[in-house]
This record gives sequence, C-alpha cells and structure tokens, in this order.
Amino acid sequence: MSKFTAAMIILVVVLAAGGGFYALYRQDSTGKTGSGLGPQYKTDFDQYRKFDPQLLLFSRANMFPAGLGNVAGIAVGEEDRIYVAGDRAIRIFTPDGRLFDQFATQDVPQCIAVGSDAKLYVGMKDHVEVRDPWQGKWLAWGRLDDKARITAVAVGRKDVFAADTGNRLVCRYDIHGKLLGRFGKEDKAANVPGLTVYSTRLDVAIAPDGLLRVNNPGLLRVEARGFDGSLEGYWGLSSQDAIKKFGREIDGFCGCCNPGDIAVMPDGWQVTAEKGLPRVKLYDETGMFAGVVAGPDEFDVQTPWLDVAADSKGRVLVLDPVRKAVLVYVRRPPQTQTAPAHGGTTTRTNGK
Amino acid sequence: MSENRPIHCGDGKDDPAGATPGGKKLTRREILSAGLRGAGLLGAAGLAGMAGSSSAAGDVVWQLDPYKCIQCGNCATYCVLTPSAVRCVHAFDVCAYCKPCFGFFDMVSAKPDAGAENQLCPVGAITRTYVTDVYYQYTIDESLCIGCGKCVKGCATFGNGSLFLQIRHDLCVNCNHCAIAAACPTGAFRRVSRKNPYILKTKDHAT
Repeated sequence: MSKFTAAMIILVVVLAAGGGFYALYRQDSTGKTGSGLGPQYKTDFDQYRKFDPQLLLFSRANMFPAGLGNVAGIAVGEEDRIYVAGDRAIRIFTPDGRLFDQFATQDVPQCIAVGSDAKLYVGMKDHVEVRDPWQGKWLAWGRLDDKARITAVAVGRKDVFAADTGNRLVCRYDIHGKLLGRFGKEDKAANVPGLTVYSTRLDVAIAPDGLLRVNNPGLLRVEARGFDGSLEGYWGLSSQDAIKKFGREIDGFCGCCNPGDIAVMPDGWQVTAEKGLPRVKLYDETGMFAGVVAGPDEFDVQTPWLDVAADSKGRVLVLDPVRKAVLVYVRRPPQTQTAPAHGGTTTRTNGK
Repeated sequence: MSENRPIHCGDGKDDPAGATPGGKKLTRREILSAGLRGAGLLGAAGLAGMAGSSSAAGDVVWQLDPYKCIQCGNCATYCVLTPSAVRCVHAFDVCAYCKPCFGFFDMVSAKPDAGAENQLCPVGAITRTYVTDVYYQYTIDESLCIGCGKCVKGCATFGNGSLFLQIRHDLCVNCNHCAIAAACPTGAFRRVSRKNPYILKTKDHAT
C-alpha cells in the first residue's frame, strides 16, 4: 500500500468519525436545541420551578419505596405508623420506613385514613371499607352512585367524611357507616360557591379547631367548613394574584386547579400539595404562607399529583406516584432556616 | 398395494434401497405428510409476503404519539409544509372545561377576560365559549393553528392534557422520511395504519 493510499484511508476514517461525532453532538434529545420558533411561540414554565431558597423550611430526611405497583393514598396512624394504599393492598411502615405489616384489599383502594381506635377507613372508588384491626375483617359501607370517585377520607370521633371527586361533594357518615348528608353544592342564597373540581383530586381533613378543611381546587383555595358543610371561611389565591399582591408567585396556587391535596399538622398549620408545578408548601392556621416543604425540583415534571400527610412530630410525608415512594420531610434546624416568608395569602370569611 | 412398501428415491446409488441418509426408508404416507407440511409453509410464507408488500405499498401513515410529545415546537418548523400538517386537536371528553385554562391563558397575565393580550396562543386559534360561571369550552380553529404546541404544554402542565398535537391526514403528504419524525427529540413519531391514523387521548388519561 502506498503512502498516499494509506493517508487517504486515514483521512476518510477521520472524516467519517468526525461526521459521526458532529451528528451525535447535533442530536437534540431534549428538545431544547430549538425549533426556530420565536419566543412568542414558546412557553417556559421552568422559571416558575425556581423559588427563593430561603423559603425552604424543610429538608428530605428519608425516602423509602412503598413496594406497590401503583400508589394511591397515604395516612398516619397510631405511633406515627405510615399507611400506604395502592394496588389491592395496604402497607404499613414504621416511622423510619421499615415494613411493619401489610394486607390485601378486595377492591382497589383510592385513599386511606386511620381512626383513633386504629380502625382503617379505606376509600374505594364508590364506597368506604372499614377494617377492624382486632377482628381483621373488612366491612363495606353502602355504595354511592356510578359517578362517584372517592379520593379522600377523614375520620373524626363520631363522623367520617369522604371526598367524592366524581360528584364534587363531600359525604358525611356516622361512625357506623350511615350516610348523614352531602355538601359542596353551590348555595346561591347564601352566596357560597360549590366545590369546583376540574381535575381529579378533592381532599378533606379535620383540623384541631374542630372544623374540616376541604380544598376547592377550581377556586384555588382551601375552605374551613363545619361538619354540616357550612362554610366558615377560606383562604388561598392564585399565582397571578400572588404576583400582583406580594410580587411572588409561590405564595399562591398555580394553574387551573390547586391545591390537589391537603394535610393538617398537629398545631393546625396546613400542608398543601400542588400539581402542574409539583410542590408542597406550608401555610399557618390562618392561611398565611409560611414556606416550602418540597420544591418542584424534588419531583418529576410529569408528576400528576402528590398526596400528603403529617405526623405527630410535625414531619411531612409525601406520597410520590412517579417514584412510588414515601418521602419524609423534617424541619430544617433553626440556624439553616431563614426568616419566615413575608405576606401570605388571604384569610376571609363568607360574612356569615 | 401396501402403504408400507418402500419408495426408491434417486438412482439408488447414494441411497440404496430408498433409505434416507439415516438409513430409514420413506413410506408413501411420510412423503405425502412432508409434502403437505411444505405446502403449508409455502402458503404461510406467501401470506406473510403479501402482508409485507401491502404495508410497503403505503397502508401506513405517520402519526405523533401524544403521550411521548414534549411540545418542543419542532412540529411547527420541520414539516415540509407551511404551515405544518401538525395541528392541535382537543379531546372534549378529557377536558375539564376549566375557567382559568392555561392552554388558553398565559400563566402570568391570566385575567378574567379573554382579551388577545391575555391569550397564550400566538395566532389566536383558540375560541373560549361560556358554559356556566365556572366552566368554559375551548375550541381549536385548525385553519389558524400552526402546531407550535404552546397551548398543549400549558394544558398538559396544569390541566388534564386534553389539548394535544396530531398530524392531520387531510394535510399531510406522508413523506417516506418524515422531516419532523427525524427531528423529534423523543421519538414520538411512528407509522400507524392508514385505517386508524390518529392516536387520540381518552378520558382514562385525564390527570
């Protein structure tokens, strides 16, 4: 082989390799290289994923897999045990994330709550099932209509509440499963709007003040309601209003329909979980924005919802349906925790 | 004639007494059976060939899988057509009819009214119609849509994802090598049957 031929072969190989590397370099695997469209044709939600790190009040202390193919709901029971519902099972974990117990359900659970008597109240699609831990038997309460879709259950001493997303109502039962009533419809005479649920999450919780907390996602607020459904007050505002009022988007709820899930801390402070910009935030008992529990960067962009619960020590437990895992957040030490957020959301009553 | 009578194959030099190389003699039944099996295989191969040739003849078309789409904007600019054959479509049974729809409103400038300055769509291709105090219907004017996917991103992020992009086959020229498919960062384009040319979202996928 002549030197010329060898040089040509080397040149061709080098050019081919260079072309290959250039093709790989040019390959746009994220879609961010650009389509050639001007900025008016693009939407950048990434800017809303960022927030002032000084607002971060919590840090993630633990994360453990739920061990389920699909997770649906989370609750905290006696001794701060963590209950996770999903697939056709309930799994119970110790506060540090070790599996404590598990058992099967006959239907697919959608949500879960634990009574003070350690009874489990599991929301199925259209009914509630109760499990007595001592007898180990399931008791199914009466079914709601075909449209029903129960997404949250809250248990008081004598009352049980089930949030029916399908009918956009909250059902009130006595402790034995008798349906006492429903509320959430618009009451024009009292100027009370109905529960507006565009998306698939309606949540209910019982606060230490003896009132219910119900999210009204379409109105971007959390409502305080009596057990009979009477609206006692509400708080919350949209991101747009938060920008106008406080110059900061994160004080409000983003998108069309948030918060998707709520939890009440032992001191009455309220935890909210949002979709769209998946994030978990903390508000005081009056609805003033206190800070961030977990920002959007903690979760996958496609996270469709997050369920939240709080234990007796003030830890926030987040059920992540993408990771199919429980994330445990604890308050950051005071030296790393910054000044509380200014301003906040509004607290209003309905004028009753 | 006995069916078990040996059949002599060939000239008998390599296979004396009609035996197979293993030494076993072939019967008439075995030959018939083998022949039928061969014919069956040939028939199957022929059918497969016909199926393959009919596919190659253009019974498939390009389509965009909305579940893989990340709304990068390439659909609007890489298509050989101007405007692109990719347009936004709306699955009404997935839509929540949100009053503050972020496929319609810009997230920051969302106001109660549908003034042009508050709309997300850069070409004004979405019409908002009052249904009740808290519900509104959104309709895409596909003659205006350019397939940029801006509304799709807003709806997918905050809403139920009822707005999504599809190749409109009344517009698409079905290039052999679709330029958008080559540019798609997530490989969301694939060939589908011409008889079922759309990949539509359904109610089960509402978030």
